[in-house]
Amino acid sequence: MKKYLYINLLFCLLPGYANSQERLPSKGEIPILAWYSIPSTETTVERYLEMKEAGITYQFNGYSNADEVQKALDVAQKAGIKMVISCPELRTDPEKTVKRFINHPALVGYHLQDEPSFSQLKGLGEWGRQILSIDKKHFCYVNLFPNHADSTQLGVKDYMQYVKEYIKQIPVKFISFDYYPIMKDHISKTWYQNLEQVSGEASKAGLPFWAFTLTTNYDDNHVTPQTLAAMRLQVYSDLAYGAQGIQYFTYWSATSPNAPSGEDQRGAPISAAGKRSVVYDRVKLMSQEIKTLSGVFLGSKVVSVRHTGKGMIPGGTIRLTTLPKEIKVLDTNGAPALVSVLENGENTFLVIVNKDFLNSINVTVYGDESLKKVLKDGTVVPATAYENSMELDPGDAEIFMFPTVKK
Amino acid sequence: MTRINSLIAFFVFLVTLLCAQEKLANKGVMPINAYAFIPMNQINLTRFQEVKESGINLFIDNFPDIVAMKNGLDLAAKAGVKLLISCPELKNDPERTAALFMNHPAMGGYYIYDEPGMALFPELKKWCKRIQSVDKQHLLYVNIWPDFASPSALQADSYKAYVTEFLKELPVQVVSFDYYPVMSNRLSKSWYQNLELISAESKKAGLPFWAFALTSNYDAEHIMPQTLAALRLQLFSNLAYGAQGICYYEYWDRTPTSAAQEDDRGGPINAAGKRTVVFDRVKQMSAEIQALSPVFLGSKVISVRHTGKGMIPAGTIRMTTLPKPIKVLDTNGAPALVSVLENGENTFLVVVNKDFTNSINLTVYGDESVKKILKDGTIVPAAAYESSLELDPGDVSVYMFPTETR
Repeated sequence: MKKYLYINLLFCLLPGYANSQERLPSKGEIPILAWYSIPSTETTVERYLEMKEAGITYQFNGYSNADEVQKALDVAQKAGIKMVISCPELRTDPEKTVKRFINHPALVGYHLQDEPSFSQLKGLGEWGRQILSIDKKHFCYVNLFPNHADSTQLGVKDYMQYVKEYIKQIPVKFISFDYYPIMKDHISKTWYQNLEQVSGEASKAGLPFWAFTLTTNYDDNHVTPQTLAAMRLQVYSDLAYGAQGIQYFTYWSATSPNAPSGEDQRGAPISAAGKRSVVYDRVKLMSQEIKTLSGVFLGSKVVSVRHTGKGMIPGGTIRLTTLPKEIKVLDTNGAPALVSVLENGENTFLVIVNKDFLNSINVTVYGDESLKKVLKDGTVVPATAYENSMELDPGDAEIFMFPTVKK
Repeated sequence: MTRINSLIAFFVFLVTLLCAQEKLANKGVMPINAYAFIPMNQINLTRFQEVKESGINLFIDNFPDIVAMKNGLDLAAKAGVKLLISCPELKNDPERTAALFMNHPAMGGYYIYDEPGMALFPELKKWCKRIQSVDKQHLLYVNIWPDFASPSALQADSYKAYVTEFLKELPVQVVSFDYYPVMSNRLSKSWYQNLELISAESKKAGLPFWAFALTSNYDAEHIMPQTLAALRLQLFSNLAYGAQGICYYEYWDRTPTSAAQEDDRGGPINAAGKRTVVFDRVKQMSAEIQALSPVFLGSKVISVRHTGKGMIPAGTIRMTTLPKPIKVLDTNGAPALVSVLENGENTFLVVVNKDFTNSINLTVYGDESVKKILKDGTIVPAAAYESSLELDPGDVSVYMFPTETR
């Protein structure tokens, strides 16, 4: 034992060295909003700290009255979490309710409705303007259907008409839509088209958009429990398309009796019994990655989003045919990948996402001497420090950086 | 105003208190040694800092002379890593070389020999004794063969005789052995048997042991490039058996300069000096080891058992009992390693998924004293988690409960 103690001591005495490695410039953090977070019966500082530990910055939950909202806001404030509030009084007496909560430090926004139909948009717009007439500081939040919703759900035949009307009618500060594309063995066909549609319309409207990753399961067709690869694919695809906020659906497993539409949700970070699942740890890791790489995505301007691979690219997307001049070669040996170019101030980023959530792919990149590689911990190193051909894990992202060309 | 200030101070205190999660107490740094083989024309501070960034805190390189060795140590000190020194003068004039370097801040020990046959032990013993006549403090590092080495390599009647003789003859402070068990689609059959033997023999000798993970490839049979799952399986198995130090073989790929040499490839740094995907994986692996080092460092092995519906590895023991605080441990028949380690006031249950390609489902029920150790070293009540959890390929799940007072 003495010998062990000595050997250990040797390492305790290791001198440190000044870490002068280049890091991503930080401009803040991508907001991470959790749906169906903590039930009102579990409104405690411990539970909110547990949610904060998972990297969640905003939470949304439907409360049965304003007093429950007040209690949750007070607790959220102590834990350092912000809330998108929702309670019947917000609808029945918006003026009084907004005035009650407008100055609460944990308030970030007002939830109006999830997946409204076309016919509801006008009314939601009026409600939103009522709220904004009192509080211009906080946002109104309405989440849209995905493009695979049928015409009875949308209330209109054309999805684009639905999105345009939403933007026209509702005074939102960002567009939100939900799409859960990762099935057990394939990706839903229209997911990337939906990202194209929403990012395109958001850009035209001068608004950012937020998108989702599924962190639970509500049927027998999706991956369960959610893998890190499945979450990475959703999150990095969203971010590569320019998303400025990430949403987890859901944080707490809602069981049939109290779930919307009677969905049997399971496999969320926190089970219906209030226990952490393996997804809690995966969400925590995912949130950490989003936070660390926020300097790439937050406030970025999408220059292009392209798809590559020997198979057919998704409907409504564009094939990669040109590269930024700093990139000389980009080759996936025919494997499916998403390639996005994002301008963010003085730096431009090339984001490559492995669209295969089950298998790793090989990505070869050759660039000029200005090219740098952004590591998962936010460190920036010359791209030449790494091999040109690298294995990219299922669903994962590889990021390169070069100076923005001055126009 | 005073009241407001007091209220603010109280609020800050409250938040700090609530945020202060229980963490494993730091007991020091787990030695992470690498056969680095950094080419001499790449010996510079940037490269040494790169080594440090990967989480390696001790490494071996063969320096051509004492001047180069001194330069290597100076750079290592600046980078915050240590060296197991190796240069011709250490062999030719051990006393003078030891005296020269023994007080260097980057001195980690003496690299003596890799995989010696038994016939070499007397000569190595003399060499070690000469070094120890000057420096009794630093580590003498000799790495021994795995149990599948041929009799001609071992130069002994049996592997057990080889290990016994090694411990009897050589005045080493740690027992180190290399075994690279993760092939493309299976585990080598005698790996766990080798761990059983080394951990038992080192315990008898009152010495800690160090063990390896392959971080490169030297043939066509092993997994390539090394996956995080393969690295985890090797390292967490070693640690579950009580290893007190970890070795990576190797850091920098060597290409053959003669037909007899191995065609090493897939290491963290390739032969052209570029980082590979394995660099990032080794960096993550090293961080995981250090975060969990309070579990393993200085621990006493109470039991190591194997479970699963298939045959357990030869030379190992099937799990038939559990520590009192653990009520149920079920892998649904999947192969797992279950180790109980006592470390001061706490005892740890370490469960390793022995499947490096598939996740398994692990069910653990314990009493209210059982806590769960997260990968970042945070301690939470086990009851905070579901009792059945998916365990990733090769990964580990660690539980903690108070050591029973005898």
